[in-house]
Amino acid sequence: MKKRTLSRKEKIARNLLLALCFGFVVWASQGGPMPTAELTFRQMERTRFLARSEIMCTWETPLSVGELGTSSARAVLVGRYTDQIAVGCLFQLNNPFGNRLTLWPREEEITPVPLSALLQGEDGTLFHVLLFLEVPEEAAGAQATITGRIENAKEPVETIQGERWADGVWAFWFPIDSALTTDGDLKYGTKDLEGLPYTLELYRTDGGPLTEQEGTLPENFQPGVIYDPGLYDVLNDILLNQ
Amino acid sequence: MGEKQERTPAEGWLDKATAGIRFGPDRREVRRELEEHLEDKALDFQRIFPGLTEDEAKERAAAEMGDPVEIGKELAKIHRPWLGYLWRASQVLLGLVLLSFLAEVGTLAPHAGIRSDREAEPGWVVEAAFAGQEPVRINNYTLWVEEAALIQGMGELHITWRAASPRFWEMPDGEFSQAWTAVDDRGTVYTSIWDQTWDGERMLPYVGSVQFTGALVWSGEQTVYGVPQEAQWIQINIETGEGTIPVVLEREETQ
Amino acid sequence: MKLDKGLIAGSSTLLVLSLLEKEDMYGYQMITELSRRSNDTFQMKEGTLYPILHALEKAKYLSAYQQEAPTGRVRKYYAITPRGRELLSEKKAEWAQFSHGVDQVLSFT
Repeated sequence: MKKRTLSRKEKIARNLLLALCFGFVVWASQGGPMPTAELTFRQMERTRFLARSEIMCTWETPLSVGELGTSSARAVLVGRYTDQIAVGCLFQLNNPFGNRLTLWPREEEITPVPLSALLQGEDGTLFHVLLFLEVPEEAAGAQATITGRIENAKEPVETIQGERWADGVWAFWFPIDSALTTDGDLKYGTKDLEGLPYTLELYRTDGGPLTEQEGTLPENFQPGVIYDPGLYDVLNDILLNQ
Repeated sequence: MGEKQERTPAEGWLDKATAGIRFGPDRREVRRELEEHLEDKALDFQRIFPGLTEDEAKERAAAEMGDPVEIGKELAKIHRPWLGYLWRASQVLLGLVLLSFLAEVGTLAPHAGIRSDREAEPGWVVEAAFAGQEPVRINNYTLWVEEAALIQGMGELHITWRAASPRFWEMPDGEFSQAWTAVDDRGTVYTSIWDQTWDGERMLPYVGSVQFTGALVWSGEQTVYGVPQEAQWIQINIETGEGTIPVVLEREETQ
Repeated sequence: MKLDKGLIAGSSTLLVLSLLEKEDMYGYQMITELSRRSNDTFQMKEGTLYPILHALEKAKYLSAYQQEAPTGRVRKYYAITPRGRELLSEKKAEWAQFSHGVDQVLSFT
């Protein structure tokens, strides 16, 4: 009795082919997770109906997956459109859902952007992170001062030195540390960094001052929408008088 | 079984002759073939020398088989383990993939049907139906409005979206609220910023985000709040970062 | 004209293939059959036979299967493949040439 069986090479090929097919189904059912931060960001753009932006900055945590807590982002990408900026905060690469992307208007002047996710430092401390975009290239150093982040802080005025993430993109890490409070219990305002007054000071390479900017940190809002209360009153009258 | 059993000369010969074959299944197969050969040889000795016991015959047969180390070297050269290892690896890989596959299939929720909110609330009356136009194409998605209904007395327009893509594994993101704004024929602008929808007294015009579900062709429910009862059309604007794409919904004549 | 191990290996292949030309056999059977046909001239050693059998099988000149032998036990049988038959005729031709050459040298007096 002779039996036609697959040769070992054929079995290997068959196994690999089957693994590929079933593997694809598993991958597709997970939403098609991407292996790198940049590819994940591109996927986020696609699924949110956004055009491909020009990526100006990719920051990835040096911490390993095990060291990173679930509430902190592991990558931050900044993409540029003609009039807008997209900021993506990625928590997991292998999960297309749950990552955050926010749009900001692109200004001529230096634009503050509070990150919508916390970042984690090497010693495990969590940070509120403030980005400044469109920072002039001549800036060799930067320092940001905000007031009122932590309600019960010993020192409500905080100044942090910035680190340059990319051309025009600087990041400022504000630690979340109960040691900063008067009673050991962290009490925030409702909005993390949003709505706080800030001052940004830029320095040249020789240490001399370059420029300074003051303002209020923005809330996350959507460009292009003008809310007109006058119009709404008319509408409301109609609705209420049905 | 802690005792070390004595290897018979025959077993010792076989061990040495197959020691060079590293891949387990191959080694076992070759060993078996040589063992059978040895058995046949031993049987012949017993036939020729009837006084021999089975063990003695086997011992003699082993001695007559030649140098096991020499034959071991030749066999090792022929039976290289790499293809065997590769085969093993492919089996392990396939096994792992199949396990993940079964885990996936086991946890898949039943396919979400297209159930609009209206079915859940039978008391609602449709004031007017709105119809979408041609499907729009964004990022290789084909996106269109399946149906839209303005609910009487509530100022709510309930829209059912459908989407499809050649990348059938990339479901559109429902929670990205910044994508959606709207304008109607009265010029009212609808925001999608949740925090701006309540001014302390009343609900301001607001476009909710779309929650997509399903597979292959996805469907999503969306509610627009603050729509006037007589609105003739409403235009949903989808933000793309480089401008917005309009989707116009026109009021259909009621019967 | 090399009279060395290579030639012996070469002629062993020829012997094995021709044994299997008409009939499938298992290892021990081949050794007994070979000595029978050659009137005990050739006693191929196991150390020679099995490496050749396995090498020929790997190279697809032979195929193998399990079958019950006349002794009642199951043995690994070898069969020649079409490729093997081609190799056999090549080897036969080589051998004919070789032995003809030897004859010519020997008869040259």
